[in-house]
Amino acid sequence: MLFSVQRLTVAIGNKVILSNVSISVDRGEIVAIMGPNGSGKTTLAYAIMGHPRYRIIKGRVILDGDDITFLPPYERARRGVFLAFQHPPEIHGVKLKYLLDFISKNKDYMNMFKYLGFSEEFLHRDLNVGFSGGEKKRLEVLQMLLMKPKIAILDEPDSGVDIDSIRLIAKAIKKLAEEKSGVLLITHYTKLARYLVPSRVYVMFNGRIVASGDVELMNKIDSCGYQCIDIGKCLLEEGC
Amino acid sequence: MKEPEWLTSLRKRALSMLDKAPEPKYGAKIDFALFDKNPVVHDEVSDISELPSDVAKALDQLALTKVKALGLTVHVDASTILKELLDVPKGVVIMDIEEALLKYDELRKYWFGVFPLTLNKLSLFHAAYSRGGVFIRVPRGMRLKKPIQSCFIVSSSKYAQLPHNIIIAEPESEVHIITGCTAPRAVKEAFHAGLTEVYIMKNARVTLTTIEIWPYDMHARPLAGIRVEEGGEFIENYILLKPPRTLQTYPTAVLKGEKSTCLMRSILVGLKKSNVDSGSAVYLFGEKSRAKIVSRAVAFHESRIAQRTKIWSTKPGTYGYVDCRGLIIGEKASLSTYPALIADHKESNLVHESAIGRIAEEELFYLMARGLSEEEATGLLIRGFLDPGILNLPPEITKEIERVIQLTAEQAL
Repeated sequence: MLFSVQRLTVAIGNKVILSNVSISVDRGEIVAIMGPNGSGKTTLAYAIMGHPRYRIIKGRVILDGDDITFLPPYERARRGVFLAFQHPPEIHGVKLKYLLDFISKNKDYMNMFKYLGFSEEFLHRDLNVGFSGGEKKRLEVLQMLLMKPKIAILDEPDSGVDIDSIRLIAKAIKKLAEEKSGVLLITHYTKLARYLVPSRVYVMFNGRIVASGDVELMNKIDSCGYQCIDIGKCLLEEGC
Repeated sequence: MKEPEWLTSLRKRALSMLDKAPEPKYGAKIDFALFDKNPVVHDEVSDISELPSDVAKALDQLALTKVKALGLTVHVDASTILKELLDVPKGVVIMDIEEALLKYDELRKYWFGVFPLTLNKLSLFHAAYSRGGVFIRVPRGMRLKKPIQSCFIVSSSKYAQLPHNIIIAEPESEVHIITGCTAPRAVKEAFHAGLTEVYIMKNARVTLTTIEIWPYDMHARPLAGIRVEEGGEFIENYILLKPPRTLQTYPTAVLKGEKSTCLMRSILVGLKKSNVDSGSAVYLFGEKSRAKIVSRAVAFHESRIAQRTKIWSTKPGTYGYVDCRGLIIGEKASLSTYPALIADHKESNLVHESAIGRIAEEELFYLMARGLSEEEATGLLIRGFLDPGILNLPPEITKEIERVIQLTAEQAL
């Protein structure tokens, strides 16, 4: 297995946010994590990336056989973990060009840059400052393609984004998976997952994985929402 | 040294008032009398390649040699040691101030013409003992696109460098003056208090950029007064890349003329236990005059920085805006901001925004998630916060400033 999270328990301060979460993603695989707002999806993404405020109480994060649970974020990034942020921060005074030059190691990225709908003028703008929702998300995806990660975690790349952007983003993710990267797609809508067809779907609720399955599981979420997961059994039966 | 009689008697007068004058209101208290006021003079050189090696190195450090400029003057202690006026158009005067005082009698009008002579002990001390400096005059209608540069170097320990610079932009003229101030590392307990007076006539425009890189064992009190006539424009960029142990400055622009404008920007870096007290003041004395003050400060280590800003309006249709932000990095660092807005006319519109904070955790995490180490990410964020890119300086200088800021930030962490 390329990437796995094993029985991960995570706290912020003394408050436990994730309990015993286990997931795995193989090379070239697209795996979806779904769940309502506040279920712990972003916490999982941050914990995988090594956010200093998220304390790992128990469990491990394994990439390519190496334990990366306690590595600093930049070390994880350098080993091939990428996180596309749900809300990328606006950073004043840091030009987009500076960051792109850094992560592409000065390789030419203009074709990809334009393909993702950016004009050259964007290079000299401050990072994410005044960008639209779609621009921010497309920029995350561009950085993902440039970094060629082993495992890409995308935190709601489809929220607040117009339909054309969604198509571009879906295409980019597909391309990455075809190049044998693992993709962990966090979303609470099923729209993007329709374009991508994940091989496995996890459902998260209250900081736990409460269900897993194939695309069928998504269909059930589509027809009856997350409400039934709360009850705990509905998903296992036909109809809601 | 020969000088005009009026100047000798002005010095005597200043000296007689020195004891009873008040101490400077701001900045760390230091005793000026302890510094050596006897001018240290140096020989002139004819070419930039003949500069003493430590002076050449200082020039390099300030990136002044990398810029295509119309002219360059180099001042070491009390002497003007180099004047390279390569492309200076006819009619522009760039001259050692002592020479200029003998040649142009009208300079007495401009000598403490805008900066108040009797302000405090420091202004009187300067008036009594000043030596050297540069005189720049741009004639009517001449708009210079390339900058003029001057570099002030303190090279003697315990010495008080007190140059007096006068800049006159005649009507419809334009000039960008870039000044670098520094001292070789080995200088101990030295003092720099350059006084710059700028006169901007009708519809003229002056940009004054000052870059300072000081050794730690020094004290600096740069003084500046600016007068702007009708439709004139003053832009100041003050960039303190390495502070001395104590520094205080409070450039003050008087917008006398109708529709005159002023933009003052400062970038301040506090290191070690330096005490930096940096202000900017604009007096909106002309109808419809406008001013903007932007200040950015980063306090590392145990440094203390005070950011003072003041806009005072007495005329209708005036507008003033202050944008003052500080970033605390050092555990024992301290930042304070003192914005003052004074409106003595009901048709004044004055605004200030200020904020002090630390580096945003989310921004740091984001950059680290892209593979930047914590030091690299912090350095980049600090550089971005100070954002020298907004100053519209020649790209060579911007690049060098960015490089120094990032290096300083990474070393300080």
